[in-house]
Amino acid sequence: MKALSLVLAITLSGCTTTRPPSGEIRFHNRPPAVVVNDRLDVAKKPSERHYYRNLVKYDRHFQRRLTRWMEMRPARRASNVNSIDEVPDSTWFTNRIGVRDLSVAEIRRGPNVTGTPQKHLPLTIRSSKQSGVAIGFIVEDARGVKYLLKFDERDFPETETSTDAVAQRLLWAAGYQVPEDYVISLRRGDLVIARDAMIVSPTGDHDRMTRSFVDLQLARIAIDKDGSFRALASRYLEGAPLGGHPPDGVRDDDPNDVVPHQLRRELRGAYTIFAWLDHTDVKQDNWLDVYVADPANRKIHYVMHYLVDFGKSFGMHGLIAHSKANGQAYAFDLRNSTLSLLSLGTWQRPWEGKRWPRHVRGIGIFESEKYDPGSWKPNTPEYMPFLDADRFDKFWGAKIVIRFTQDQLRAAVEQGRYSDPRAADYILRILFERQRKTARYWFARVAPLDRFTVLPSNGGQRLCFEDLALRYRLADSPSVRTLYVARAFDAAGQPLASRVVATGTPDGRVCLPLLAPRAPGPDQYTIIRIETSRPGQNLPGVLVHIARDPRSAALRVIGLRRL
Amino acid sequence: MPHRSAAIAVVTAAVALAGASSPSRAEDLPSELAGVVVTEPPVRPWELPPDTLPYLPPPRPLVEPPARTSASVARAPLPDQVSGISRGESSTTGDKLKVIPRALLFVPRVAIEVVGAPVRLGLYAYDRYQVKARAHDIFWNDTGTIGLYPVFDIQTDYAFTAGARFIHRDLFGEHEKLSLRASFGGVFWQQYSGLLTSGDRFGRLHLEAKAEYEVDPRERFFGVGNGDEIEMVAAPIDPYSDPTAIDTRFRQRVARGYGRARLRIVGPLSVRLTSGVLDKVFEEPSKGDIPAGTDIADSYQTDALPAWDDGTTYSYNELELRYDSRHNGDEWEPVSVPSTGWLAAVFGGVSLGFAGAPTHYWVYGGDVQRFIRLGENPRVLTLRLIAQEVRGETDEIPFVDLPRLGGPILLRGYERDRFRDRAMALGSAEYLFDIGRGFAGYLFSDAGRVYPSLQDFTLDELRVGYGGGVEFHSARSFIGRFNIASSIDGGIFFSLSLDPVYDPTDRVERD
Repeated sequence: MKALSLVLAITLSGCTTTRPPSGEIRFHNRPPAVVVNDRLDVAKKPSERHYYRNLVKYDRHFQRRLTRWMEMRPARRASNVNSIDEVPDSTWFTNRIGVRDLSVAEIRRGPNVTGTPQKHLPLTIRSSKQSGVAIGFIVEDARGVKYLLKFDERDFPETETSTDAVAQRLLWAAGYQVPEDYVISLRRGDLVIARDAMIVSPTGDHDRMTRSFVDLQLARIAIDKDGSFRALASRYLEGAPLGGHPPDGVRDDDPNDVVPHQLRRELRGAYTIFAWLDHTDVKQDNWLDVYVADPANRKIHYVMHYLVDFGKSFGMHGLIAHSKANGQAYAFDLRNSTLSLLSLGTWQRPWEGKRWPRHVRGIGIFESEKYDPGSWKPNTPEYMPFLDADRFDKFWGAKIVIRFTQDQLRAAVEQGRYSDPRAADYILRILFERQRKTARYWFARVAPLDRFTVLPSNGGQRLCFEDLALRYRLADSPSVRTLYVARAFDAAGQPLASRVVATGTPDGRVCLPLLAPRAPGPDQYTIIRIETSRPGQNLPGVLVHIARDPRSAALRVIGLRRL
Repeated sequence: MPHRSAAIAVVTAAVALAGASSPSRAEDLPSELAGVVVTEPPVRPWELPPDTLPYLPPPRPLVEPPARTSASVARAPLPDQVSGISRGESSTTGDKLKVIPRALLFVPRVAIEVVGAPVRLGLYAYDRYQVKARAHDIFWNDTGTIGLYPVFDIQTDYAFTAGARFIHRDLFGEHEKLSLRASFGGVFWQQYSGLLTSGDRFGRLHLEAKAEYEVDPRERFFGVGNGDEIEMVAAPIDPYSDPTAIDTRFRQRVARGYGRARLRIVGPLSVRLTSGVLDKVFEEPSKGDIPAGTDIADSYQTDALPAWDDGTTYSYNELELRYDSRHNGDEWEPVSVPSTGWLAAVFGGVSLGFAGAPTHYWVYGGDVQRFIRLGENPRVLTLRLIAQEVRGETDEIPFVDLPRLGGPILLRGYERDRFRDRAMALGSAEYLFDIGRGFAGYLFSDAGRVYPSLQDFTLDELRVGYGGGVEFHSARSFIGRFNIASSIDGGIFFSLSLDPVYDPTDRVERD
């Protein structure tokens, strides 16, 4: 009991630590890094990691979850962000919609550059799918391009194939590396069996593949009345697959992997994006590291990190697993079970009363009314970066989510090729509603001020930024009721005699005059602390670090620290 | 912008007149003034430089940059050097102090790792070597229709049992099933059985044939009647004239063979005809098989027990009419947890002895269950009334065939087979609520008793059990229940039951 009290006291005391108003962090006077060098040659191929499903479930639900808590790790922010709290491009992530405008055509195409195999039939089956529970084959099209072919289950037509294609476009646009996925329509005659085609059993045994085996597999999939069936052709990634990455720590045999994965912003921040898409099938197996050759120099090799298998987004996981709790409870959820048990079943679960168009082909348990961005849960707690993600990571993800326009979302949804137009309309509407709910939630927990820049003004210079909540019409009050109170400090943390107050604008763009007396020092390092408030809402502050560029002598933003 | 300058002037004047500092909360703003800037110390409006330059955010690139290569990023910082931080943040007080609980929890953490290591190793081996798939390859044919595999079970009073089972799931192409099983457990508990079913061969008509042989060395006998339990008696008593209950054991060997036909008449209405032959032999248990002092002969006059001395061989024929509309209340709730509907079953049967065996009695009864859905997931209230009676001469009804109460199914909170007599009646109420995927909690109360006949029915001296537990189920089938129960007569009973509570008792299967 004493030990428990001590643990609690120490935990609570962390909440009362005070820091100076200018913060403690200082930045180098240089522009933020926009790309990292994690493409150094890895001469020896790292070993392949296998996903031991039951072991991982036991660890993440029980043992490792408990012992991890007992390690009393300090809460740490993501450590691979640059000086303005953004993620540089890397083998994990490429900034797209977060930093540039994507055309509708780009969304439609996504990463698909090879061209659909629909135009290069027949598909030759090389082997059965080697892992997972879904039906599938390894095939080659007439050009010899290799794909993993997956299908919809018989009782769930137009589910995983459509969902995968849509989610793939959105995740690619968000910045993740994803394979090329194509939704195609086939008939039995479009699949031919190679003479040396093999059935690979889970135990690794190989048997010759027969026509009856293929027919037996196809009897389990959804087939339309005219005999055609949908498939998702996922182009094989070039390189040697290495399995998923460890959710804790790094790959010991990859010298480029130096940031512990539970501290990577793009992995932690994926929580928000996955919540938006209701991509609950989050496990090591759905990430894939690939040992690739450098496109410019084939002698250099390194590991690229991909996200794969999104067919269970949009509530499909709940539909197929027959569970309305999907997205709001783990498959085994100790907290929810305890609440139910102690309340003798009187506790109302968050997913009760969920409504969605149940009998429209292609729609899973996907809705926005019961959706809570802050308490969304994947199917299992096994992905550590999600458990360690803080509000800054989730805010970063929300910034990406809100960037999608209606036209872009529509272009992505069209790639699902839904036969029922109601399905596409419904999914589009829910994506939009969840998008706004997600952004509104996280923009209320971190001051949603972004795109800081120093611009000239007639009287000098000004610090300008965008209030994303106003920009995207997410604030509950009129823009003018938003107040920004800015104070300036020098590098030593000494306040400068200046306090500026400004109100919000309808488009969210605000500029604050830099009327402060110049900060001392050759680079005039200045820290601007901005507090944002709206009626009924006082948001945490933001510290913007400004210094003079030694080459151009212009003031520029060199750092950002969200509080 | 004259309009803006005027607005600034108004606000500045207002601030100056009020003598207050500029607003610091959104609620303090005086009026609708967009983009107005107020400074402190106040600056006279005409001193503010007019800002005519529009705010244009930096342009965003429109095209995807070229694919990164090792050469193109060669001059970029390494992944752990991008923060740009020249001076970091100190740890919080809480983080610094965490070293104390970290140290305190170190030993327990290591202990958990040590204890969990064999579990992890087992799971690793299970996954790494694909044990499930290999077992399937070993024990089943390629199509999964023929299997020979070990079985493990838990039986009340016999704890862990093990055996083997052969099954053919599709004998003649219409899912006809053949199952052969042998199990052994505890001390000399044995069971051998064979089962043949017609599958989908005959559509709405389902046929079944079964043969079993069991040796039960520790069956329980508490006398006949509703008497209170005592520790021991001075001399063996006649259980038919003295209802005193004493916990005793006996040994029995049962062989049964029967056929059954079930016909679905319309909707939830079905009829079932059962016809079989049973052979039962009773003995005193071996001393080593039972707890000390529980030999049946020590407490009861075994010669007063019908069929004890010579056993009995008899036919049993039964007709049952059943209305079963139980189902899950919502397609999203598991099929294995019915939450709405009725079960009403009435049956009548007759037993006739073979080869001079003095067995001749009628048995009849009914079982009514009502499932009331109280909420999603589901939350269910189940109400049940069940009654049963045997009619015949006392010495023509084998004592083991008397209706019984007590155990994990009927009258929970009491020992198995605690009460037996020529008639029994039981009422039950149970509230079941979903806890998580695959398991539910429940609370129950059972009230009932045995009688010399149903005409003696009374609510006096009812036995009442109560308790709760956790039920495990898959989406389609019941798996088991862990039960904690007690009663108004005291005692606490823990049980693990693999039989569904609300499936009507199969008379021919009961020992």
